[in-house]
Amino acid sequence: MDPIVSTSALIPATVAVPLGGAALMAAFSRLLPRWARDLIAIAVALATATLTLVLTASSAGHPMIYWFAGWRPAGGKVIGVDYAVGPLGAGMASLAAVLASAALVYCWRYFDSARGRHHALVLIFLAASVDFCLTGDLFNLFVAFELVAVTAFALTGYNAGHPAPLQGAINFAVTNSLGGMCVLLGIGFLYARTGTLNLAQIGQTLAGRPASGLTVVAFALLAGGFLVKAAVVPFHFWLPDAYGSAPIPVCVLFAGVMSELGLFAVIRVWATIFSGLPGHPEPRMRAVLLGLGILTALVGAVMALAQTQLKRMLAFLTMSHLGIYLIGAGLLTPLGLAGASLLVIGDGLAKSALFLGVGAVQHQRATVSETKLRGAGRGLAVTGVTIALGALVLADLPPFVSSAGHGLLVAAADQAGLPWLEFVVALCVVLSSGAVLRAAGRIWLGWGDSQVTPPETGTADDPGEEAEDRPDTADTGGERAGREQPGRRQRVPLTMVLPPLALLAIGLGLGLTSGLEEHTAAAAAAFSDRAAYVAAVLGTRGGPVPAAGQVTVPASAGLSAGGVLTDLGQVLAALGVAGLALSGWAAGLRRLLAAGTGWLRHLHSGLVGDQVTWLVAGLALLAALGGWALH
Amino acid sequence: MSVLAYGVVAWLFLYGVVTSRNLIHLVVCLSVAQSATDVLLLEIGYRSGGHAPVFVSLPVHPGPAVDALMQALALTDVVVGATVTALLLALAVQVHKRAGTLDPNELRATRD
Repeated sequence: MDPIVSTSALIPATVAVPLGGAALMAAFSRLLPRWARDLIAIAVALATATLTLVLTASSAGHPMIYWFAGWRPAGGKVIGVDYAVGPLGAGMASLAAVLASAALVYCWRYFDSARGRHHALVLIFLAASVDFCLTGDLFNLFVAFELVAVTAFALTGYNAGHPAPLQGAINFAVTNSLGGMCVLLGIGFLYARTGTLNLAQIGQTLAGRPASGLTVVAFALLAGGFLVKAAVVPFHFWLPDAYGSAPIPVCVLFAGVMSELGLFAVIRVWATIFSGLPGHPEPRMRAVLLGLGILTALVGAVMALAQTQLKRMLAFLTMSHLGIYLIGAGLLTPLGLAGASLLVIGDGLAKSALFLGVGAVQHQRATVSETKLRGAGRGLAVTGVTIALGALVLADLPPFVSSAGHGLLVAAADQAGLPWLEFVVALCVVLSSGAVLRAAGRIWLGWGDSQVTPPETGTADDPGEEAEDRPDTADTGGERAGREQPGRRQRVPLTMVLPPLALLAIGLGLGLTSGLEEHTAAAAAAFSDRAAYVAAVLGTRGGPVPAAGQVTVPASAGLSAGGVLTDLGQVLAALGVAGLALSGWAAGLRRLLAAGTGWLRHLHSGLVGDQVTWLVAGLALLAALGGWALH
Repeated sequence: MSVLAYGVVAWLFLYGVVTSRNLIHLVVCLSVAQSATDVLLLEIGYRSGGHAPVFVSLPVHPGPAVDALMQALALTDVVVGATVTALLLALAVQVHKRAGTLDPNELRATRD
């Protein structure tokens, strides 16, 4: 359990490799043939995945601290910049690297003329994500946060030829820049209060002292900035615009990595800095985070059900699941965090498979509108199976790894005395997966009518869909030739069929790994232990360091009969929702639901001014709640 | 007091972002609000009577130096701000090319 002060070059290499690859890609892409660019980018991403996986395995049980240029702390004072590597952060980085590899393989045939710049941006995004997960320094965290954001803005607007990506990118860039501004202000305030930027040292300085107004404001600004990225209500309005209009390989990175990074940062900042404040702020903070999580999960699920544009549907599904992770992590217990972590991995893989499947449909049929695609699934059978399976996995189909995470989350809610949370989570999961299954039923089985919603609330004549009908290619010339014989093009390229299946297979393999729950629970316990973190970073012996295996996983959390039955029940309920949405006799119910959620859809106006107003209101709310929780 | 001034500037320009009818105007408002943040950071690192935090090839200066860390943070943010502004302006040019307008209220491509 002793922390290792590591000088191994392995740790900085996880960031240096993708960054160097991106630089080479940007510099020499004109000299290289297309296949060489693709191969090099994929090789760099896979190498990063290998490095981060090695880090995950070797940091299990004892955190690894790396001091840049060997500037170690002297006499309990931090001078340098550190990476504090634990299995949870390294695991998150591994997920980013695996998804980036899958996205790059997928790009092989997705873009007609992917230039080196796209691959370079993806690799920079990956490097910044890894940096974000490993760093133990607020300055570094801010740089990584902004680097992720700026590459993401550029990737969203990559198809600058169409109005929807442009508007999505503008909304995304304006709101997230304001989020970055909040984070920077929060960091400035914390520095003004403590005189250091190291997470461990800030936590140690603030611990035991009553929270001042400055600390509360710093918390609200930091949490608000990170929650913008995590797309938590009311900071979420940019998410459907950005996800709905970005190229599919980019959506994979956004849905699987970027938003989760925001939540990761909130929990990291809480665990290392604010959990040490006196007066037991934990129960009140739990109430705040759970409230935000439940609201996000519900809004996302209802909005997913109301969509007929597949990418927007998946965007809201992503949001609903982000709310569920926040519920898990917001319990502020190691077990809840472990459940959320396994869900992030399992759902991240499944969501990416869904996005990639939708991308294959878009590539072949040149539209992502559920109604226009009715019965158009012939010839895309493998993709159909992928999408249906992905939706079922998101409904926690055992024995995939999401099911294990769900089990841990339920156990954590029970332990915290909040067993009703299980029903909230189940409802959101069932609704959002039901929406995807409904679309799959309509497209591949030809069920349901082609006009889903009444015209006054429908999106059938939505200009956004028209914009989406154009293929996501940088070069539309070649695509137009293909569109002249819609539906009768060549078969789906293997590079678009295999990556989603591979991701689902990884989820299955992880789910079948024995002892995964125990390892994750131990990692989450180490992550949440502020005293041990401070002792590891500062190199002091600050009190007894608890053994990592202390958190016991309740027997009911594993693949027990009860857990499996619950998960199967969710899967059946999701199928039931899909069937209900497609059957003829439930039209009245659907109209009632559409009328009931009209006001919610009206709020998602896509206007950047509205989004900024909500952001400011959310910040004020967070400041008030933070003051209540921390004082 | 300069903290208060910062707050007024930042909030005034956020109002500009919310009500703007022109994307260029919106981007400039955003960039001014961001610069206000940098001013606040410099203020946090300021020591009264302090000299610039340059310690090489200069005669020894009496008295304290201002905090170099906050200046580094502000410098980083300036770089980020310049990148975002450039990207947003490029997007605004593209929007004008495709949609023929710069009014965000007339762009309804991502309306729900």
